[in-house]
Amino acid sequence: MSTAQALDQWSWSDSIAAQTIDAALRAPMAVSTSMLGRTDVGFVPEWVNVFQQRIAELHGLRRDWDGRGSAAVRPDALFFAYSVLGQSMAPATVAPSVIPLGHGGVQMVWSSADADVEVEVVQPNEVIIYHLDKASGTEREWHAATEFSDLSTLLRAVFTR
Amino acid sequence: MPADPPRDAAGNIEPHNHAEILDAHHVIRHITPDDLCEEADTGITRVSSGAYSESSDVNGGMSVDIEEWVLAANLDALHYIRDPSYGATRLNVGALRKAGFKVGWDPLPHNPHHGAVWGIGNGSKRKRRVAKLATTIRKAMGED
Repeated sequence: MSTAQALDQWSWSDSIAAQTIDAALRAPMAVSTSMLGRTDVGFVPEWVNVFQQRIAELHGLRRDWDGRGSAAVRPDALFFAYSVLGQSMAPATVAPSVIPLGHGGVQMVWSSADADVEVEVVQPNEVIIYHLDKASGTEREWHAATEFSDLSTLLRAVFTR
Repeated sequence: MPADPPRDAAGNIEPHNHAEILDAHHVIRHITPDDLCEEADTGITRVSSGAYSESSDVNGGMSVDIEEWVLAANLDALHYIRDPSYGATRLNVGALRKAGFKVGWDPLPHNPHHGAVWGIGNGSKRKRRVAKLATTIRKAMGED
């Protein structure tokens, strides 16, 4: 198995054990790439750093933070978004833009010339995934709660370098 | 004064099409730097569809200013955007209604020209429908 294949099948699960945003932000990241026959302690995909930084920014937004009546950003929605990424992203997948929404959830956006993928985390276990294939113009939107294999396949195919 | 908007038993404004907000009118959506997303292959920063989400209030719609009402009060169209880092987009009321959304009056104590767009809900499909109707008046800080 090549390094690229192994990294493509990499999954991130240990840090999901953290129960709060603060704990997740402080949690040490030890990723076992056992398929390569070694353990890379301290290896942190770039998207993890980018996402954690964004969580820290959004975590402090209070009710009506935008003057448009938006709810405070829900910590449980942020944390669930983090876990969705943990189940869906390869190490080299591009970090999403994270947009706070009026209901207190967040939207994660990946966009390129080929496709748009938008994942709305309304609250834990209530996720709506949107995909636009720009070549065909085909749109698809579906609900998900705990299973994100379709999203993972999409992100690894289109937004992984 | 415009006709009062309809309210439920608890006094919350109900989703409605206000008769005095004409199809020819426009509404202005405030855009914050937090509404921006980045294109992966070009690095271009644009307004995400998430910028067009409804508030969490009871019967909460998407918060907007009614441009023609603001102008009729001899105020600048962007009068209610006080943060210099914020931008704004303009949406035609008739186009919103034709797409199935309701546009009504939702006055606030500090903004009698405040309205709401109802029917967007959760998920991206309808947000993107709204986004397609929007034109930029002023870019938010960081927007390309």
